[in-house]
Amino acid sequence: MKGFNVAGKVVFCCLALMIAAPAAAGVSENARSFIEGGKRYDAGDYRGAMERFEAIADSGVVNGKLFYNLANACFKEGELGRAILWYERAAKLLPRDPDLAFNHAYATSFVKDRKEESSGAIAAIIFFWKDWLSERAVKASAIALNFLFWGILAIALFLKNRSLKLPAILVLLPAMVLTLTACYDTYRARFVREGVILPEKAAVRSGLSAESTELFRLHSGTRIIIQQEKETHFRIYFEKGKIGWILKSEIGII
Amino acid sequence: MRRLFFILLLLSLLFPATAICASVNAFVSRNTVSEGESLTLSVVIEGEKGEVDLTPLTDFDVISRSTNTSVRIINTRMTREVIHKYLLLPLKKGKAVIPKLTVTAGKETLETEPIIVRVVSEGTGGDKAANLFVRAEVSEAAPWSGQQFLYTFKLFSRYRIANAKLEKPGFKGFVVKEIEENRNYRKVLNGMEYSVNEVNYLLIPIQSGQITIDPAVLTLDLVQKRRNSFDSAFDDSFFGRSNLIRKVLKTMDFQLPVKPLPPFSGEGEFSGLVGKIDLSASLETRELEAGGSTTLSVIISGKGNIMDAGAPSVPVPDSFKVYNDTAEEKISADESGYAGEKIFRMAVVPVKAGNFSIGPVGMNYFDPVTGAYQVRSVGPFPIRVTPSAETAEAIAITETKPAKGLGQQGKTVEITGRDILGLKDEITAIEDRSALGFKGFCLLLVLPAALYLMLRLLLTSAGKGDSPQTLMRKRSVSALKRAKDCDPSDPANFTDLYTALTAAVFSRAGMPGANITGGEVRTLLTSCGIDESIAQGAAELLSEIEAAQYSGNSMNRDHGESLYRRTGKMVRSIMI
Repeated sequence: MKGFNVAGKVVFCCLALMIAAPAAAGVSENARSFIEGGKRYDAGDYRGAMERFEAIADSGVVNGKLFYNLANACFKEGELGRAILWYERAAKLLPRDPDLAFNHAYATSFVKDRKEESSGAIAAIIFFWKDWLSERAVKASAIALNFLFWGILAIALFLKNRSLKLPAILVLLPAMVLTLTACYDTYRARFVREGVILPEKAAVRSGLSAESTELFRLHSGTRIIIQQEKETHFRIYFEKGKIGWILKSEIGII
Repeated sequence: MRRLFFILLLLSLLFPATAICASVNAFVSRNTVSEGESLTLSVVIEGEKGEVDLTPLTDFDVISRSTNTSVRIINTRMTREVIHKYLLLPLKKGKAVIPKLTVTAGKETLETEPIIVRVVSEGTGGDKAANLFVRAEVSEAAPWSGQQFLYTFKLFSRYRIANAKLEKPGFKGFVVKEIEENRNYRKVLNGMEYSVNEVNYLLIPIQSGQITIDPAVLTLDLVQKRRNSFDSAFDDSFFGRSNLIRKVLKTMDFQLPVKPLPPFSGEGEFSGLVGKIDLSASLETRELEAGGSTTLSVIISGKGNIMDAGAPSVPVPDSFKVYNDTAEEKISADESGYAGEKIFRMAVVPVKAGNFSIGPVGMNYFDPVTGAYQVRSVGPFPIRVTPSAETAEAIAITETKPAKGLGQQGKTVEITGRDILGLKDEITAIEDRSALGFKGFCLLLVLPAALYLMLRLLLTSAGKGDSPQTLMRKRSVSALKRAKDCDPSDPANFTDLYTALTAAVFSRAGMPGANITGGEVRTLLTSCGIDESIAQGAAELLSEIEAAQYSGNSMNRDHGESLYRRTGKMVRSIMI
């Protein structure tokens, strides 16, 4: 019996390791790639760093710091379009990171195309929290305030205390605002797609063929809105009067 | 038979043969252009829609394309004409060929005739080619690494131009500063006067080797007058009386061999300065007491990358304390380059008495004119330190850094270099931080509401629903509301008023109930602490309502409304 107990423990440990090992291997593979990416970046091998960080992102990891590192590597490698794309993706996750804001602004200063119309300045003032909180933080705050609101109501019900009505209202208002913001973010993410020009120059044409009239050109890092999608092309909006078709391969979607 | 013949003849006149063959023609706006000047290639296809294959066009860059289609009906004959226009930039000097271009028009395949274009040096000969051209120059053909030089872009024009937009080169491998003031002047070249617009950039190469400066591209519109004498009074593009012809001009690129600096074999480290640099220094006072302070000012001046100068090393005796202040820069950038001075001030505090010497102050730099390193040295500065009343130890203990300023105001920090900040190396960067999906978000929103409803049901089923006080209150309020909605003279109204008043009394007493007498009302209310007069008033009002309820007679409207108001007021004064 004693020997069986020992054998049983050994078998259990082996089984546990077999189950845990693949998960651990997956995690450690990303960690190795991350460390290797950092070393290559420091050594000046920016292409190698890009490949390492991109492999982690392709494995499904969504992390603002990872996207920031990938953007840095792209920028150092001279791929301005990809750099801006990854900075934009990182900014959605880390809206208040000062390093990201600095690098993003610096990289954007190299973008050759300038819009003549300003966009959303008033909306940015009214909905000021959207620049402070990431999508994840908005949802978490909305859920937390919602729980708090119903919790206050439950306490008031249990203690039969009508004086908790005012605190409940004070909690309900920001909860509603944040819930609506989260719903708007979800709608925007699903129906309003934005992209970044990837190659150094991209021709925007009147039609879907290469012989269609070239209407205007955009350069790497320029941000556009995707209006329509066909098999090989996007119809994009840059600013008023500048709409046209562009190859899908020349756009990175934020 | 004759009739048939005439019918056929009539039909052939009315409906001419539709099997018209397509034809194609190609021509250019000019066959002699300057380097960097564009021309327009027009391919006209008659009879059919068609596409042009530009693949064989290797001597030109296609900047833009456009297509116009027109249909004409002349003498019942319909012809279609499609014009494809291409704005071309020649890629080389000399003979540039537009070869035969294949045009697919319907089911036919046609070819254009080849066209030869002569590309001449800018500013020379050619049919109108010398009237508009661009030129780029560098002031140094083979600079040293770190040596500043000027890149000048010039537009020579004999036309009126509008909407000029310059796409400057990337200047990769250089630190760049645009000289803000653009110059405009007139110049005569080969007997012709031009209006010249000049843009200057100050460049400093940061690496050695063969560096390419890409071409600068200028896009502008030529303002062309319309041929109408009436328009002369309104000759301004604002009035829309002029034609604008879009032009694209490009300079040639530069291949600059940037020479690496020779190895530095002098004393110490190379300062990094390249240019014509001078060094001077001064000591404020040569005689002071131990513990006193004097200021040593070192000035690095001249032309070159002076802003990169670091504080020079100053040998001071061991018994001296040195406090460095922030450097002051007075550097300007113009067409001759960066020039000015950078001033380093340091406070020097001797601790012991005696005769000493500060310096000499030395500095090295690379002179691109001589191609060699130079050394500048100034000093040494003798200084006499007299004894102070305080001992040396006391001075060492009590001395503090001299007051900030040393005669200068704080200066705005200038940016001397630009780059992105480094990586984030925390391992948490590989943790997945995906936001919650929308379905999960909605579920978590609904969850607390569901829990609350469950709790409410639970409490109600466990008998922990509303208290008798709350139940009676609710009954009183709803009865009063029904009475309000009723016709005041309706006898059914009195039932609601009765319910409202009795429920209010029971609510105050904290017990359930439906019927009560006037005396019980008085007793209950006074036992709850209600004022005797109010309790009496409530009892009397109840009697009045009962009388109205059971009298069977309808009440006038005013009396009914008065009864409602008094009941409402009494209910409010009774209930908590």
